[in-house]
Amino acid sequence: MFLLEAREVGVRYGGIQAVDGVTCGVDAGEIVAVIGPNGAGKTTLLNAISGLTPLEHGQVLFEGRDLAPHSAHRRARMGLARTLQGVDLFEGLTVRENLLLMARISENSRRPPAPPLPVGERVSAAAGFLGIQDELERQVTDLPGGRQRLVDIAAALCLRPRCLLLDEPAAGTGPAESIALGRLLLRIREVLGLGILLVEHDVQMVLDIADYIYVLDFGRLIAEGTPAQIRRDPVVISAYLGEDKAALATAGAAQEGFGAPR
Amino acid sequence: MSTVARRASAPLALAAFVAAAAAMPSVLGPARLLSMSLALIFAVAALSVVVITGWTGQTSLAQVTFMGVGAFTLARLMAPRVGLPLYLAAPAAILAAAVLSVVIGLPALRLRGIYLAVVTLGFAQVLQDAAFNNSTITESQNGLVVARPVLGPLDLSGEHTLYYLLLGVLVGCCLLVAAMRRSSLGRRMISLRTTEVGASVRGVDLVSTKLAAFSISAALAGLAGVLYALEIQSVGPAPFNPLQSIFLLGLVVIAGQRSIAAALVAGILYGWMPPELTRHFTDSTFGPNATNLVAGVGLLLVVISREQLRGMALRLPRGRWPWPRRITVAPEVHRNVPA
Repeated sequence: MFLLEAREVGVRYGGIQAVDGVTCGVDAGEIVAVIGPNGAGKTTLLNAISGLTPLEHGQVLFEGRDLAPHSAHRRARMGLARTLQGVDLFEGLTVRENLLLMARISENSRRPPAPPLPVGERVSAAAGFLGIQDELERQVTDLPGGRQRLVDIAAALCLRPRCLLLDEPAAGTGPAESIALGRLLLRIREVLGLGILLVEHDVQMVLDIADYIYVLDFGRLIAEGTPAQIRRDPVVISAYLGEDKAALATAGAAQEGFGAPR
Repeated sequence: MSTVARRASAPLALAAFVAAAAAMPSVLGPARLLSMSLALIFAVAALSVVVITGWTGQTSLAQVTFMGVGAFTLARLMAPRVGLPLYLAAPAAILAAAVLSVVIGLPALRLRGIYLAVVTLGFAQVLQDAAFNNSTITESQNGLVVARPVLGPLDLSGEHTLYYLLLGVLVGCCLLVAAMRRSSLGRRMISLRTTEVGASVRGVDLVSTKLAAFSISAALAGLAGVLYALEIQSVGPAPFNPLQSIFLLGLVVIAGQRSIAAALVAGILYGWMPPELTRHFTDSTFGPNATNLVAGVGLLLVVISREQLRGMALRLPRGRWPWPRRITVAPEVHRNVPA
């Protein structure tokens, strides 16, 4: 049994089948990535899992429980923390207040196990883990984008999640920053043992850190496997590059993470 | 400003305001003291706008109407036919405003911004026509008379006694709102202002937080209505015209909308501006509309300068779900980039 599992999930927006029968799963202590070209349905899948978008069919299970009766905020309190595309922190609050809000909510969620530390200490611990302890008293809007992203992840960790859903955390980062972010995610996996479901455009980062990869295109799952398998999958390469270029590119792209445009 | 200075400056500013306000009765004549009393009352109403709009980001145009609900309920309950004492009638009036705000808040939960503003304004107009202007409900077209009672050791018929009661209630409200700002509830309210979707995926219950914001802010407005009824001693429909809510919201926005100090400034503007301006402008072309003109121009200036500020902030990469945060390569282009 997976920690988080989507079974045959379908989402329809009017006449568009945004996600079509996607099955995927995340285990504790595992980084699972969902990749795919723009419009493939990656964020929609994440929205369906976190309860922002109703399912047309299929179901989402978390720790063996069907999430259908639980609204988005209940899912977050159950241990399914989520970041949104782009940094979306609460303006008008300091970094500490952003983290405190999350820590306090997790305390009210009456979910075992009981929090080991008082909220204030958990906030300090999360800030220390992400290296933002010196910025706790600053307004979140005063921080540069990269630091805001760390606050965003720290806030998610303050919810005491069992599973972390990250929507394009590397968006808008440079190569060095995205490597640091990849290391951070590995550290979260190692130290905290969380399951991480990552939707990402940065194919190179995904190939470097993910344990398992699902590839979406036009709402359907076109491939899944370990990074080594995905790297060589001709279906994936053609989805990213177009069929005519695929054959030509296969050899060279293999090392370059398809040479995906950034 | 450093954090320490910021933390210390708020109580100091409040203390300075209280000291200045406490000295007013010995300085001002009766007419000016009435303006100051109205300033204190409307500062309480402005606090309700700070909570619902400044923090929670919900544009409510029914706050002065909730004031009216508080005032009319108090007047009815204290009238000889019912004859409740003030200490029972005032909580009942505040409760009436809060309950009514939940009744209107429930259907409006899915609305935001201009849509919520329209719905609350519509509600205010309905209440104005159906209740405040309805002589079978409010009993008199000329307004209900409210007698100032003796409350324990306080004889509220004395102007100065009532003034200090108003000041005390305002200070109590300020402290209450300040405590709320530091609480988890206050942080939840503020989280809604930036991103409702972001708040919900982080475990914030939108429904309960919004209803708490609606009811607390309506209770503050209802309290302001109770104070208004005691001060003016007569409750009629005119002061609770829906347009007054727009005026009050405008003043709070001009004053800064998010802090307690903003509410105090807005209260002063509301209490003092009409008599001062109408005196200077009565003979001019603008006539009695001068207040609206000044408030309107001030509001425009604030909004324009804010938009410019936000325009600069927009250069930072940011977005709101479900819009993409960055300009991404369209799928067709994506597929045809050579390796």
